[in-house]
Order: sequence, then C-alpha cells, then structure tokens
Amino acid sequence: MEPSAKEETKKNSPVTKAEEAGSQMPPPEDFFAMKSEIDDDMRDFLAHMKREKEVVDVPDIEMPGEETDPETGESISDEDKGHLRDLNYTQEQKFWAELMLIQLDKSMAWIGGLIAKEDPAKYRMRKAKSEEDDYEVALTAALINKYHVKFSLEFALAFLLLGKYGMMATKVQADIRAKKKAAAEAAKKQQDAERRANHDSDR
Amino acid sequence: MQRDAQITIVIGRNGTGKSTFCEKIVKGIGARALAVTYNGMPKIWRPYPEVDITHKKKMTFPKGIRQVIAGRYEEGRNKNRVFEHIYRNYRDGMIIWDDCRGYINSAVDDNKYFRQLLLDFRHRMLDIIFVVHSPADVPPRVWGFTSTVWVGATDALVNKSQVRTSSADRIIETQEEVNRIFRAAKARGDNTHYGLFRRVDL
Repeated sequence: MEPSAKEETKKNSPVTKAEEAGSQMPPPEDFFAMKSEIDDDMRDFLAHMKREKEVVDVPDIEMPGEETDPETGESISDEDKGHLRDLNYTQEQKFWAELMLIQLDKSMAWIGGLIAKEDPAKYRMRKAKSEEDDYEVALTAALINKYHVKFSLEFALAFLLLGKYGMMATKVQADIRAKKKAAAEAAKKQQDAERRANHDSDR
Repeated sequence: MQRDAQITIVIGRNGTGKSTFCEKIVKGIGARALAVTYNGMPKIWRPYPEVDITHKKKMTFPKGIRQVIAGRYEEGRNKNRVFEHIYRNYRDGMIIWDDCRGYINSAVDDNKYFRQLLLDFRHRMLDIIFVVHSPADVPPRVWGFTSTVWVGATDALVNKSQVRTSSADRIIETQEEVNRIFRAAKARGDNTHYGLFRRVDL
C-alpha cells in the first residue's frame, strides 16, 4: 500500500506539516495542544526562537532615525531636525537680524513717504528694540544661520548710514517742497499787494 | 543560552498556508509581531488590530500580532515610508513581510531604511520573516542574511541563479520533494496538503 502524504512527510523528516487541515485544523491558540503531533523540526525551530535574544550594544553613534523628542518620545524627522538646528542661532546672528529688519523698515517707510509725499517717520513699523519673542527676528536670525550669511562691519555701517540718510533725503525733498510753496505764496501775496496798491493809485 | 535575532524565508504557492504557518510561529514562541501586507490580504491578519506605525508609543505593545497595511504609507512610485516608520519605531519583536514582492523592491539599496533594517536587525533584536511565492521573489541581498528557509510547494520553476546562497541546491532539492508530497496529498483530496513546509538551515 502506498504511504500517505502524511506518512511520507514524517519519513522524510525534517518535514513540518500541520497534522490537520481546513476545518479540522485547530485554531492557532491551541498550537501547543498539538505539540506532540508537531514535527520535531518545527519544535526545534520554535525552541530555538523562544530563547532570549542577545542584546547587542549599539555603538554610541547617531544612527539614522535614532533621535526622539524627550518629552513625547516621538521621532524627530530630518526636516524637523534641520529647523531646530537653524533656530539654534547665536546672539550675533540675532543682532544682524534686528539690524536687517530695522533697515528694511526704514526702506519701506521711505518708499511709503515718497509715494504719499509725507514724512516717512509716519510709516515706520519697527521703532523700539525687539522683544524676547519677536518671531520676525527669530526667523530672520534662523535664516541667517541656515544660509551662513556673514556681514562685515563696513557693510553694516554703510547699511546703517544709508538707512539713516535715505530718510533725510526724503525730509530734504519735503523741506524744498515746503520752501517752494512758501515762496510761491509769498510771491503771490506780494503781487496781490502791488495790484491793490496800483488800483488805489488809479482812483 | 541566548540567540541572535534572525531572518527567515517562507516560500510557497497560494494556498499552501504560508501566513497560517507564520501565525503559528508567532503564537508558538509568544512573540510580538508586525504582520505587514500591501493591502490587508490575506485575510488571516484581519482579526488583528491595525497599528499606527508612525507613533513610537503605539509600537510598544507587549505581545501579540499587529497588522500593518503597507499601501497606506506609499507616497509615490518606489517610495513607501513603511520601512522608515518601522525602522524608527519598532524594536525587539518580529516582522512578517507577507507577500513582500508587492512592496519590497528587489534592489534593497533603493530604500535606505529597508537596507538599514537588514543591516541592523540583530542590534534592533528583530526577527524578520519574508513570505514569498518563489525564491525568485526574495530580494537577492536578503539571502546573505538568512538563517532558515521553510520550503513549501511552489509552481514556479526555480533557477539556481535566483537563489543567492551556497545552499541553493539543497533548497531546490527540498522544493522538489515538497512539491511531490504536496501533489500526492492534494490528489487525495483530504486537505492534508495544507501546511506542508520543510526546513532548510543555511
């Protein structure tokens, strides 16, 4: 009589085979209930896999994906790490950030004054020193940090003077306009006075 | 006596009981495991809760099986973040890459996190099981890390060059033997063909 597939499997051990199939197969929860019927090889494999795994010391170097947020325990992505690195700017970078923003503010005020033909000081938005949580300064400083922007003292001085006297140029223009206007008014008054005098003498 | 974490390959055609076999391994050793499929198939994993692999805290479950659907983490052609999240957030457990041909590229280096998982599985104490239909579905570099192969019946004709291990002959011989037994059992029609796997240690 030809041996069944089941017998053949046993004979050619190690061959693992679930003893029952389809609807007759016991649920996986009863795995150990079938233990005596499980092939030796499978039992050996499970015994091997049940042994504790060796704990291998990971070298003390930063591995990709190792870093986690100490508060939440969640991983920090490369993008987040980049942002955190950029926001870790120096006081010098913060100083340059404030300087840049002040000059930008002066420039915008000058343009506004020029368009409106008004005193540029009226359009200044950043007059006082920045507060601790000034996000514009923080982000500008982070960008200076990110792109490694370097400023020389000469450049900084020229930048400051340009800002300062750029504002003065507008004031000069305004003064010239005011003087012209005053002169024109004075001339008109004089003409009126002369016209009145001539008119009285004709009488 | 302690052991190293290890990589195992389970080979078999549809209907040989590969996933059931893996489930029994997990239950047999009382491990905690991630069962990763591309789209939730086969349905044997469906009773198990799906885990959000993007949160490390949710990956600290002590025991049992959690389902991971790799398709949810796909972000375009050849870009699946399932490997990244598992690499970042999961340690000391088992990973079953079920029917992995659907989402694991044969070029291991295409995804740095998958490559890193292969390189670091011992450090991370991760037992990894690749479930495939034929030896040709195993990414070639995986053979170099594999300790055990469970060979079930397969229809695929296996070319020796596709099995990148010095034990290729033993695997092919075993496959032929299992195929023969499988055919005999199936012809008998009593469902005893289900769950036939033979072990080859590399």
